[in-house]
Amino acid sequence: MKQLGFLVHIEKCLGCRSCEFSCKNEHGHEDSFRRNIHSLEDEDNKMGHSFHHFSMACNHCENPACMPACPEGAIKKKPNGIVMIDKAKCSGCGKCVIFCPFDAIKMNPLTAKADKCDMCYDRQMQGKTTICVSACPVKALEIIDINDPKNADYDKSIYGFEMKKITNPSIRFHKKKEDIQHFWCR
Amino acid sequence: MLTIQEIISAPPFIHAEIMGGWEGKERSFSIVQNHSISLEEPSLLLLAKTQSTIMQLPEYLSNQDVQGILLYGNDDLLIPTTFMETADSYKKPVLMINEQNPESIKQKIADLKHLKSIGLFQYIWERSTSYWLQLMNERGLPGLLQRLCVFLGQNVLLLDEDFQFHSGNESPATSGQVALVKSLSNQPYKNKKEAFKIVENESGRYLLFHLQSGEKRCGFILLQELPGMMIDICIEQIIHAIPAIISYLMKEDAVKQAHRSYKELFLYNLLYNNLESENGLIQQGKQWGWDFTKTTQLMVMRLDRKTDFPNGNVDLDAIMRKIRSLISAAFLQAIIFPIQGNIVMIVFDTPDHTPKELKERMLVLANRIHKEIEHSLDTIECQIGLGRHYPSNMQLFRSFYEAKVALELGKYESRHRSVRHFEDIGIARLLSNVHNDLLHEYFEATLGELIVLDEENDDFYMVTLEAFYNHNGDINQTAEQLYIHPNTLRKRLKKLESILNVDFNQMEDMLKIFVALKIRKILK
Repeated sequence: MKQLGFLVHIEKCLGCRSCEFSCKNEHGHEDSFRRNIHSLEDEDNKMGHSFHHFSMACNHCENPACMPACPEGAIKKKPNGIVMIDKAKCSGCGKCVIFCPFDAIKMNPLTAKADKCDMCYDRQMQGKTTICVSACPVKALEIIDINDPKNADYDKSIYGFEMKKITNPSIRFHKKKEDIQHFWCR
Repeated sequence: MLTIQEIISAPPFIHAEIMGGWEGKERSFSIVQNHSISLEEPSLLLLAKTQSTIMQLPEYLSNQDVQGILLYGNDDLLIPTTFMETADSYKKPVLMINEQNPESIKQKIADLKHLKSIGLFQYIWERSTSYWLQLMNERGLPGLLQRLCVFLGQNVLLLDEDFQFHSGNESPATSGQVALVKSLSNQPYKNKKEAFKIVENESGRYLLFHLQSGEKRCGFILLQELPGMMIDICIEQIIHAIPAIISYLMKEDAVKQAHRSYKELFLYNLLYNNLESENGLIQQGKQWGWDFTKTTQLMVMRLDRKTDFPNGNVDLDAIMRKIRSLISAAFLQAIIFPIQGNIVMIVFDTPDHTPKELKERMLVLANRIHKEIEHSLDTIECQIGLGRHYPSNMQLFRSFYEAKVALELGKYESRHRSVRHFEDIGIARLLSNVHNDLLHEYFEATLGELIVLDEENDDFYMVTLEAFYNHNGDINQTAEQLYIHPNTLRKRLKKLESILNVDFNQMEDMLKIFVALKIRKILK
C-alpha cells in the first residue's frame, strides 16, 4: 500500500510562506491556515544567527491519533495514505483538534467543523499535484511515497522540533546542503 | 507416408472423436481408400457412418492392410463397445468426424501428404495452436489437458513454477512421477533457452517442457518417453499446445493477483475506517467467508530480530500458519495478515462472553502465541499489542490503533512485558496524547535542575533516582544495584528530596517524579 507524505528540502526552504498563502487561497478561510511555516535555529549555529525553515501541515500519520479520537468516526485514511475528514459526519466536537500532536486540525469558524489538509485530494484525483507543492518557488516541497524503498534515507525528524513519533508522521526531511554556487571568479 | 497421429494434428481431423485403438496411433498409411476389398498397401479406410458399415467394422479391422478407420458423416449412431474393444485389440485407431464429403476428406489428406513430402508440415503444427486456444476457451484447462492426454496416449502432468502438481491435472501421478517431481523441486532449474529437457529416474526417461512467457516462468509439463512412441510428433503437439496453457496460467495468475489486492484493500479499509456501513462490511466479508456478524477482537504482533542475530530471513508465511493453527483451536475463525511490517490478527468469537471475559480470552491466546513463536524461533523477539473490544465491527479501526499504541508504549514500561493490552499500559496512555512541548516543559520543571547538577558536578543523582523507582522504592535492592551501602543511598535520597523539593513518603510527590521519569523515556 502507498503512503503519501510531504518531503521538505530544509536547505531550499526560504520561509517565504508561498505554500501557506496558496493553500489558504485554495481551501482557506479568514484567520486560519492549514499549513504553517516553522522557523528554527540551525543545528550548527546555536547562537541564533542562522535559521532554517520548514513548512508543515497535516502529516497524514501512519497511525493517526485523530482517527480513533473522533466519536463520529468521521476521520478516515484512504488507501494512498491521505487522512481525510468526512465533513458530513463531523459534529464539530473538536476532540480531534486536541488529539493531533502537530496542531494540524483547526475548527473552521464558518462551518463549525474540523478542517485540515487533505493533500489537495480533489486536485490529486485530477492528476494534479498539491497547491503548496506547485506554489513553492524553490521546489522545497515534494509529495513522495514514504513506503517506496528509494525514499528510505530521508530523515524522520528535524533538529530543534519536537516530533511525536507514536503516530508515525508521514513527513520526511532532506537536509543535505547543495554545493555553494560561485557566481564570481577571483 | 503419414501417421494417424500426424493427421489428427491438422484440421478438420483435430476435432475427430477417437473411438478406440489409439494405441496404434503411430501406424502409417500411404493411401486413403473407400473400400477394403481392393486394398494392396497400408491404407486409411474411409467409411460413411451408416448402420451397415458399423456392423462390418470388425471385418474391416481384421484386414492387415487397414491401418486405421475414419468414419465420416453427421448421423448419430451408436457404436457397440465390443467393436471398440476389437479396435483396441488390433491397435488400429477408429476416428469419427462430422465431415460429409469423402472427396474433400481425401483431398485434405492428400494435401497433408504433399506438405509433408516437401517439408512444410510445420504449417500444420502452427495452425494447431489456434485449435488449442479455442479448446482452452471452450473447455478450460482440464478439457485441454484431457484432450492432450488423449492425443499423446498417456498422462501429461502440469506442474507449477515451484514443481508442485497443478490443480488442473485430472489423472493422478504415478509414484515414479511423484518421486521425480520431488527431486526436481529440490534442485535449481537452470534451463531457460531450450523448449524442454530430458530428466530421468528409476521409473524412466521424461521430457520436461518449461512454460515461459518472457522472463516469467509459469510452470512445466512432464511427459514420459514410452517405448515406440513417435517422440518428434509428441513434442510438436505439446509445443503447439503450450501457448494456450501459458495464456490460461497467466490469466489465472492475474485473477489471483486481483483477488489478493482486493482482499488487501478491504482489510486496509476495515482498519482505517474507510467502510461506509456495517451492512457493506458484512456483505464484503462474505466474499472471503468471514462472518462479520460475529464479535471480533484484534491484536497486532511485531517481530524483531534479536540483537544477537542481526541477519537471517523470517518466514512470515510459516509464522502465520502457526498462528492460524493456534487460534483455530480456541476460536471460530481468524483473519491473519501482514500490514506495515506487523502481523494483524482479527479473531471471531461467540457473542456469549462479557467484555472482561473477552479480554481474558484474548490475553490467554496472545500469551500462547507469543510463547509458541519465541519457542520455535530463537532469533526472533515477538511482541503483541491488544486493542479493546468494541460492540460494532465498524470500530475495529479503534482497536487497531490501540493495539499499535500498546505495542509502542510498551517500550516505556519499567517492567518488560511482551504481551500488552491497551487498558493495561497505564499513565503512558495519557502521556501519549499530550503535546511534546508540554511534556518537555513538565520534565524541565521537575527534573531539569537535577540534570544540570549531574552535568556540572559529575554526580549520579539521576541514575540513583531511576534505580530507586525501578525497584519500587526498595532501599536494599536499589543499593545492591548501585553497589553502594543502603545508608549511603538514604543519604543520597535525602539530598534528592532537598534538590527536588519533594518528600518520598508522600504519594503525590512520588507520582510527580514518576511521571517526569516516564516523560523522559518518551522524549528520548
